[in-house]
Amino acid sequence: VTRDIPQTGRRKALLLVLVLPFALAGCRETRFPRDPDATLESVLATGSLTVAITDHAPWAEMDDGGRAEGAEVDLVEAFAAALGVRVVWTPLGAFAALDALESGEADLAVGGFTRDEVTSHGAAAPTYAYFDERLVVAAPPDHGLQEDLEGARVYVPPGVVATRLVREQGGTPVAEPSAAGLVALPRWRLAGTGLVPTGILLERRPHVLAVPKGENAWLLRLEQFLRLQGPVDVLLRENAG
Amino acid sequence: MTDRHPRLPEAQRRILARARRLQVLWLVALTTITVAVYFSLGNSQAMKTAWIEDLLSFVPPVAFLVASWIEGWAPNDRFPLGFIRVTSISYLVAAVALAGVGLFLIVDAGMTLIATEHPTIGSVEVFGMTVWFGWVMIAALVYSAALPVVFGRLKLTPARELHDKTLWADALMNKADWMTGLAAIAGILGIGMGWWWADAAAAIVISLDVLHDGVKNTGAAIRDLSDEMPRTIDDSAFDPLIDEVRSHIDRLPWVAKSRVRLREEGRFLTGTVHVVPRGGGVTPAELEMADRDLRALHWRLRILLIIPRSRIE
Repeated sequence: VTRDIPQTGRRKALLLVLVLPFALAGCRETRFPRDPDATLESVLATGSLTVAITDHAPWAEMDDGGRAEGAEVDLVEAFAAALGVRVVWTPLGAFAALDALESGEADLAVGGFTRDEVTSHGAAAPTYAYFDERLVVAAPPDHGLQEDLEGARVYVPPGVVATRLVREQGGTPVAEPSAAGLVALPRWRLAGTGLVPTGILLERRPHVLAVPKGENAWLLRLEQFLRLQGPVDVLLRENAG
Repeated sequence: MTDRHPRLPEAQRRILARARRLQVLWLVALTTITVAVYFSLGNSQAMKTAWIEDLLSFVPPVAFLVASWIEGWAPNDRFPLGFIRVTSISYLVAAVALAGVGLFLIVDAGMTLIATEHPTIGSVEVFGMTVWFGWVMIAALVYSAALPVVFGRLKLTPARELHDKTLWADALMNKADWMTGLAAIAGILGIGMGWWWADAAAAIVISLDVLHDGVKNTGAAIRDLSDEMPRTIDDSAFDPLIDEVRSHIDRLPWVAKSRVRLREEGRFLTGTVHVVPRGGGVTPAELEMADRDLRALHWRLRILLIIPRSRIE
């Protein structure tokens, strides 16, 4: 645009831009940013937080008695307590849980989701990665140097999704503990096993919670809470053990 | 560089050298801007659009640097008239690129709007405090809007002195860049207010601006290359040099009638001057003298062919 705009108009516009953020920052506690669909407001107003939960131990799981448990369940319960609201758990499949956020039937979804799972589904938004899970190859302390997995047999315990990853690095996944003692495990599970990481990383999984898209006040409040929490691997071990 | 551009007077050569240094400095500044904006893109369509406009801002200065370099090449057997038109070509290239991307951005933002996409902006941790990422985006946008305004002003004078349309268009786009920043900031503040559509709407405003610049400059470039009578650099009037040439020719004692046809080749004016000599004759010496005097009138006057004729319709 090359038209000349009167000088006073320019000054006013510039002034507005400079002043507006500060004016808005002044009231950012509860009113900025805001939610287009008022999720935070309605959770606080109704005193109830609807959470879609997908079975994925040890992150989140509904037990036989209909009680929710898992590391993410602990986080959500603490978040609800901080907000002074109660949690309504809605068990759903992974896709249905994310869809429930888009349709407004849930305020939050948990189930050990990774950032990629949430963004590629497209119906919901991820929080920041509150926990960076590292899937490693571990070995007994006396194992010695392990440079790569080429030709090595790696025990993949039940429940650990690592067969493909082991193969990609040239190793052979086996279903029984191998003589070499190599095991594929998330790093947080090593504590108490006597195993140590070999330095071989199979995968990084950035774990997130899922929220409705564009509900920025809600997301900010949740992230403020998550950043104040203690180490997540402690929660995971409690829930796994 | 001083031995280059033999067609330019010493003063213009110095201005050109300074303008080239200014553009190199600007490219460095622009790189810092695009990096800053890239790392604060978030999910904002307006921010993405502003970033692509920043990327586009690389085209005119690079076109200027390349063109003013090629322009200094010595004429050879294949290009006996030199490379003075390169400036016009680079101007056209820059303008068409601008228009094309403008169109793309409008479609892109329009689709975001139609899909009723709600932009999500999370938080970052700054010195142990959780801060809405929108503030970071706004800070980057303020930086990206402030620098071009300064550089745009600095480029206007050399653009006028050199009659360089690429540099001129570039300076105007830079000067207007604060409006892009403002629109993007408005989009992000809109998201913060809970107006999910504000972001895509701001993006459309920015892309309209890009398209407008592109179309306007493409038109001007095409008219230049179609041998339009020369216009002033801001395209507001015919170049006063036309009248100067005309009155100079008409004042010559041996000229009965004349017709001046000029066009722009880059920063230079070329063309033909038809003259009906008084008493039906003109000597080669008179023609050469007239040619020399015309060139002395202004550095931009080059290759004016003075052609004697028996009559002019």
